[in-house]
Amino acid sequence: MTVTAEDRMTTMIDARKGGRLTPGRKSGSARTKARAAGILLAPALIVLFAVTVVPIFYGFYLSLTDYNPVERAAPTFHGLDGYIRVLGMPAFWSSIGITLTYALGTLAIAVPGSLALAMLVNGTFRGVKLFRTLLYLPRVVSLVAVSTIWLWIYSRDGLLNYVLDVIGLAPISFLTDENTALVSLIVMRAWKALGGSMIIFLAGLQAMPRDLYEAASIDGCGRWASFRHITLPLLVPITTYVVTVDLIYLAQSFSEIYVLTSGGPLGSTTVVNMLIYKEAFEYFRLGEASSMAFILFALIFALSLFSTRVLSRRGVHA
Amino acid sequence: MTKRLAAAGLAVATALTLSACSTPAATSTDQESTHLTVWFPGNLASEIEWVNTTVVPEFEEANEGVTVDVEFVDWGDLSTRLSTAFAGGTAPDVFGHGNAAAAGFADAGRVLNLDDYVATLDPADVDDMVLLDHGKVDGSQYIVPLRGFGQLLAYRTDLLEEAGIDEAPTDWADLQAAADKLTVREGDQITRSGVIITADNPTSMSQAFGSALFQNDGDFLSEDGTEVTWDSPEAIEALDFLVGLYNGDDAVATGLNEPIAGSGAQHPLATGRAAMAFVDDATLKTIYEQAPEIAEKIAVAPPLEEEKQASFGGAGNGLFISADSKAPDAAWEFIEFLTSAEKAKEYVQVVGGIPARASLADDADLAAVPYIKPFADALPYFQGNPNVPAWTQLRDLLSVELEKALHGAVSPEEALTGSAKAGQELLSE
Repeated sequence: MTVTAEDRMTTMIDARKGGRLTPGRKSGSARTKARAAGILLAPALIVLFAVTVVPIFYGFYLSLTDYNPVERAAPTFHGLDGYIRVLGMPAFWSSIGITLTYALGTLAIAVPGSLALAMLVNGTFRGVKLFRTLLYLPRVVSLVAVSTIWLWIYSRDGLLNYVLDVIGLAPISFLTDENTALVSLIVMRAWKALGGSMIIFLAGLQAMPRDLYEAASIDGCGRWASFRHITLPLLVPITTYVVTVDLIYLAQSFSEIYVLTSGGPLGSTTVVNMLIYKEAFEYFRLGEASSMAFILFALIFALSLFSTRVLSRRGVHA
Repeated sequence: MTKRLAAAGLAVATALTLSACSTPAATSTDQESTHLTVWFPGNLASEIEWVNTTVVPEFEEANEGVTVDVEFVDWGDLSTRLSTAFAGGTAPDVFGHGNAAAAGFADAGRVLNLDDYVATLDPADVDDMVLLDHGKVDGSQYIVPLRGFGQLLAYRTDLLEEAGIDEAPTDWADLQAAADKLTVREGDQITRSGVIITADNPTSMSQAFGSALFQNDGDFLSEDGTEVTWDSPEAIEALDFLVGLYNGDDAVATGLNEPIAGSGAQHPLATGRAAMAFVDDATLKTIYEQAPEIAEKIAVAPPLEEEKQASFGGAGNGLFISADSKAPDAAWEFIEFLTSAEKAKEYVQVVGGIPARASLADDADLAAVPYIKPFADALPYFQGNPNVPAWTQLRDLLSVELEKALHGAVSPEEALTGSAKAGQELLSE
C-alpha cells in the first residue's frame, strides 16, 4: 500500500481536530514517535520536577508551617500566620526598603554606565579588544573574591583612604558608617555589573542598521539627535532585558553584603536575603524564612513586570 | 511492548534521579569496621594539617577497625550545613561548634547526653579538664570543650612608656585616664585611639559589653536563666562607660564596626592606630604571626577589676556527638583521644587559645607562648554567655541595641531597657 501526501495530510488534520486517527501503519508510527519522545524527555522532566518544581511547592508549604530543621517534631501547619508575622516586622519592611534602594541604585549607575562603555568600545580604535576584555573582566571574577578585594579597598588602611590621605583629605569610614555603607556597596556592585551589561549593549549596537544613521545624517541629524531618536529606541528591547535580569539578580543579593558589611552598621545594609539567612540558619525558623522568601519572590515578580511594561511602552513612544 | 518500554524507561529514570538525590548514611558500622564522620569548624590551615596528618592516623592506629572521615566546615557555613544535615538525617557522628550552641541542640534532642561517658573517665582526668563544666546544660554534659578563649586588655608598651604610663590599667578609672593620655587627635579627628573594644559587629559588641557587665558585677540573665537582667543599674553603668569611650568631646576611641578580629598586621594595635585594645587570644596570635616585630611591644594585662575582677570568655569550641550517631562509643573514643593531655597541648600549640586542661597551665612550652600564657592565667576570671536555648536570639536583640548605643543613636538606658523587655517576652515564650 502506498501512502500518499494527501493521506498524511488527512491524518494530521484529523489529529489536530482531536479526531481519532485512522488505524494502520501511519497512526501507529505517530504514536510510537510520541511515546519515544516522551521516554526521551522523561529523565529531564523528572529531574526538572524533582529539583525545581517540588522544592518550590515544598518551600511554599513550609512557609505555611512553623518548620524548624533542628527540632525533631514534624512541622505544624499554621496557615498564613508566618506571613502575618513577617509583614508585621519593622525589620522586614526596613530590609525591603534597603533591598530596593540597593537594586535600583545599582541599576541607576550600571545601566547608563554600561551603555556609555558599550558606545565607547563600539569604535575601531587600536587596542579596543584589550579594552573590552579588561572592562568585562570583573564579570568573570567570583562575587565573593571581588567583595574581598573591595573590603580592602574600602578599609581604613585601604586603597581609597590611602588616596585620600595623599591628597590631604580626611579618611572615610566607607563600610562602617551607616551614611556611607549602602552607597559603597552600590558602587562596588555597579562596577561588577558594568562589564556584563556592556557586552549585551555592545551586541545591540553592532546589530544596528547603518542605513538608518546614514538617512538621519543626510536629513541633518546630529550625533545627539541620532542617539536619542535612533539608538535609544532601538535599544529598548536590550535595555528591558538588562534592567529586568539585573533587577531579579540584584534583589536577591547576599554574598557581597555578607562579606563586606554583614548587614551593618546599624542594620543599614540588611537586605531581605540577610534576614532570610538569619531566620533560617541562625534561629532555625525555616517556616518564617520561607514566608519572607515568597514575599521577596512576589516583589521581584512585580518589579520585573513593571520594568518590562514601562520600558516597552517607552520604546513604542520614543 | 511499547508500554512496557515506556514503563521501564520511567522506572530507570526515576531510580537514577532518586539515587542521585540520596546520600549515604553518615555512619556505617559492620562487624569488621566502624566509620566515623567528623566535622570540625573553621578553615585554619595549620589545624587542618594537624588533624589530617597527626590526629586521624594516630587515632585509627590506636583503634583498629575504626576509620575517620574529617571535614572542615567554615564557621559561616556551619549552621547551614548542620541544619540541613539534621533535617536530612545525615548529621556527622561528631561535630564541633561553639559552646553557646549547646543548650539549643540539647533542647532539640540533636546531641547526646555525655554524662555516662564522662563517668567512665578517671576522676583525676575530670578534675584536670577545667572547662568541662562550661559544656553542661542543666547539669548534664553535652559538649566537651577543646579549648578556652577570652578577651583581655592588650597594650603597646612603647606607647605607654612614651606617654609616661608605668603600669597597665587595673580598673575603669585607670583605663580612662591612660586612654585620655594616649589618644592623639588632629582637629576633631582621632588619629590614634587611646583604647578600643572589639566591635566588629553586634555580636562582638555584646561580648565587649559582657566584660564590662561582669566587671561591674552584673549579668545577662538571672542565675536560673528565666529573667533578663541586662537592664540592671550595673549593666546601664557598664554600657555608659563603653559608650563614653566612643562618644562626646572626651571620646578616646574610634573605628566601630571595623573588622579587626583576627586582622593580624592590620589590627589597630599593630598599625599604631590604637594604643590599647581589648583582644581575644586568637587575634593576638594573628598579630604575633603577621607582625612579630610589633608583637614584641605588646603586653597583656590581667582582667580589669571594677566591682570584681572579670572578663568575657570561657569555653570556646568543643565537640558534640550527634544523637543519631550509629557509633556513639567510637565517637566518644575519638573525643577522649582528642582531649587527652598530649593532644590538648598540641591543639592549643596549633590553634592557640586557652588549654582545656589545668595541668597545662604551667607547661613550660605553653608558658613561653605570649599569646597563650596571659589568657591561661586569667581563666578563673572568665565568664561566658548563659546556656539557655534562646540565647542566640536574645543576644541578637541585645546586640542591635548595643550597637545603636555605641554609635550614640540611643542612650544606654534606652538600649538596655527596651531590649530587655523584648528579651523577657522571648524568654517567657
